[in-house]
Amino acid sequence: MKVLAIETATPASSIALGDGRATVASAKRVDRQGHGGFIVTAIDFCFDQAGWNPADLDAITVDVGPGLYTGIRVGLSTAQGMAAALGVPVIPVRSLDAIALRAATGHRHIYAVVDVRRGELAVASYRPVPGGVVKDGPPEVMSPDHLRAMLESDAGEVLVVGDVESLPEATFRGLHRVKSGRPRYPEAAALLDLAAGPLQKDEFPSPEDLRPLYLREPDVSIAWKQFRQEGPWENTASA
Amino acid sequence: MTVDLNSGSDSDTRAIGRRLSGLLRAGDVVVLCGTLGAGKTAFVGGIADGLGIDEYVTSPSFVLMKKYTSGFIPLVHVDVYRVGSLGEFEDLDVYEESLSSVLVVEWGDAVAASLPGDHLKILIEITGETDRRVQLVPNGNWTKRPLEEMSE
Repeated sequence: MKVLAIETATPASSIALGDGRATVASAKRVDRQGHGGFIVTAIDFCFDQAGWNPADLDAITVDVGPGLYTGIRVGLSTAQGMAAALGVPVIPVRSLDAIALRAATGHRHIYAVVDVRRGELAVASYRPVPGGVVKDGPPEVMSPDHLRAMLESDAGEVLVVGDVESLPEATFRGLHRVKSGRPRYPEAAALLDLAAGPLQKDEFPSPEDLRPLYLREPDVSIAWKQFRQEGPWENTASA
Repeated sequence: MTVDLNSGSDSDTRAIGRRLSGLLRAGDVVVLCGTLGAGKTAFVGGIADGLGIDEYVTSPSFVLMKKYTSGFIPLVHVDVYRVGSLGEFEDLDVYEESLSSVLVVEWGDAVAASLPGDHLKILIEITGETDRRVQLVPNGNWTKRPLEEMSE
């Protein structure tokens, strides 16, 4: 089972090829805005190193967020384009799950965080189990203060992983049961592990139905009449 | 403190933009409001001049976003005139672009909910055939910036 993993949802972009047992090639680059320039070169590099062709692939897995909007779309559209050309499935994976999976703890309650800009974070919590982690619930977007309140009310030992460095220093001040740790960003190799289950069970949506997971507020139409007489711009292409 | 300026021509409006550029730093957000023909693009052209950008600034109404990188600070010029929803605007990922640039958003008041609270709002009002009133309204930390320099 040959799988390509595309991770561009955070400042750390990475690509990995796995054969179902191990990662056979990978490439990585950290740059908040460099996803587009990295991705195709890195995929080429990985195929070259592994000695595979794109036609050898059985599946593609991609991080659909939450994270950086442009990064997520670069990764997702690349995955969808390749899937359409190769006729292979795409398995969507969440950034927070990929971070939590690599958290190094045997007993601590894990909080994975991703910076989703404008001073907010996406947060999900997990419990370590043999061979992986189990998510407590769906991810939420919150302020660093809200995260602090959550950590304060957690009675157990806690490990916070993800982009902890983007948080204000005061977030963890005085919280003795809370440790922060690695990884800071999700990596493509972790996507390979997360995709294995759904791939085995044949559980994945159609590639064209995949959408970025921004976790933002429901979309709001602009009330253009409030801002100019002529109202909204008419989209003639669809008329 | 709101600053009110008068412009008698397109080149006056441009000069005001050029003067404002001296106050701008990377990460700043300028929201630009005014009806069609008020001189928004001329104003941004002035900002570009002042930032040392040697490219010619044209309206981004059609392409939504333009980036000019030949000056001291990159300038990101966005026009949301054709954008239908806040989601569409956020899809442009203007925030990421703006961290290391000066960001100017035309019709920005329509997407205020998706912009940072710290921004300078500029209203250009048509008061005569070529006369314009240019109003600079500071928001958030802009209230502590030396805007009064603009009226000297």
